[in-house]
Amino acid sequence: MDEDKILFYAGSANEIVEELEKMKPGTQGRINATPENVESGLAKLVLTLIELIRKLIEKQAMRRIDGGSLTDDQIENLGETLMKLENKMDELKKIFNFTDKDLNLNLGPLGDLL
Amino acid sequence: MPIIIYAILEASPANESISHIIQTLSVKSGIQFELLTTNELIAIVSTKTGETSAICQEEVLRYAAIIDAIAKQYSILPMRYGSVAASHADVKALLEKNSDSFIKVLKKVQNKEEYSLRLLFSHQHQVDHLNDEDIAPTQSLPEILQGDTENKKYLLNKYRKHILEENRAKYIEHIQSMLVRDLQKITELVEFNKKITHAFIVDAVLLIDRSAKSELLAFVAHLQSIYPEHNVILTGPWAPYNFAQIKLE
Repeated sequence: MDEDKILFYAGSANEIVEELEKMKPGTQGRINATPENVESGLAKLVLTLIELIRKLIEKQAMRRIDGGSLTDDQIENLGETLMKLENKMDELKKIFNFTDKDLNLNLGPLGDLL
Repeated sequence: MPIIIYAILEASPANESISHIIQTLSVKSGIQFELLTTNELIAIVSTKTGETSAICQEEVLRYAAIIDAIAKQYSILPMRYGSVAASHADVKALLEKNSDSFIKVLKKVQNKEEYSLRLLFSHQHQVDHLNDEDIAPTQSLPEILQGDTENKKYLLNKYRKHILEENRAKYIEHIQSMLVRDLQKITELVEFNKKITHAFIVDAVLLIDRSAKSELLAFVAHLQSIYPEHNVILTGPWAPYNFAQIKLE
């Protein structure tokens, strides 16, 4: 960006540049399936969708807690279920060698999926 | 030979001097620009010569710089890099078919410029607020989550994160609505970009009258004084890329 286009900025220039760099369209948010890595590409897509659903379930659970209608037993069950789900996802990520950052999709103007 | 389209503007008396500017730009850039006109519109184009070269950043920046130079003096619809037609006749047909849409948007951007306004959490702020223990003290945690079992501890931790996210979303919403309200004195044309990283509070583009630049600068300085803990960035003026969306026929 031309320097004469920066009319005002405050704070650390390094921090700002770092954040702007993150916004550049990269390859991280893409499903990169080729004949050689089709299994990994597919696994990434499937795990991303599972992670999205898991996070939606988690959100819904938080809403139910906010609602204040859950009994003590239901809370125990909910905690156990969510913990197991998260542990299972961690296992799957390890098997396919994915990090949390890998499991995301860039939806263009809509932002990132997760 | 393919025709590269750079910008479209109204064929009005105010734009009569465009041919002179285009000549100057041709000399400066070494690109032979042409003006294709219909009754109502003018397209600034050049003929693509030589072999097709791979897209490189330098070429994209050169294209953007040409549009920027034109936008400094005229109200234009800037084209995106890669806007190419097969022939002069195709460009004219494009102008004629979409004349009403082009003119409608040109009226909207008349004598206006685009600016980008960004407000970011500082790194320090993010570090401070990502600490799980740092839940807003005024918010009480549900009684039902208190307990020594692993399940409850797990849920309590999740709930803390949930509260942090909710607070963050409310804070961002509050600042955005404040911005929209306060910017109304300068413009109503404000759009928020959703494609933001975790550090962003606001990533907005605004279209303002050319004459309102100093007002905007004063507003931004005021904004920084209200939120000294955040980083404010204003860039521009840009051609109105974000306010010139047209579905071509």
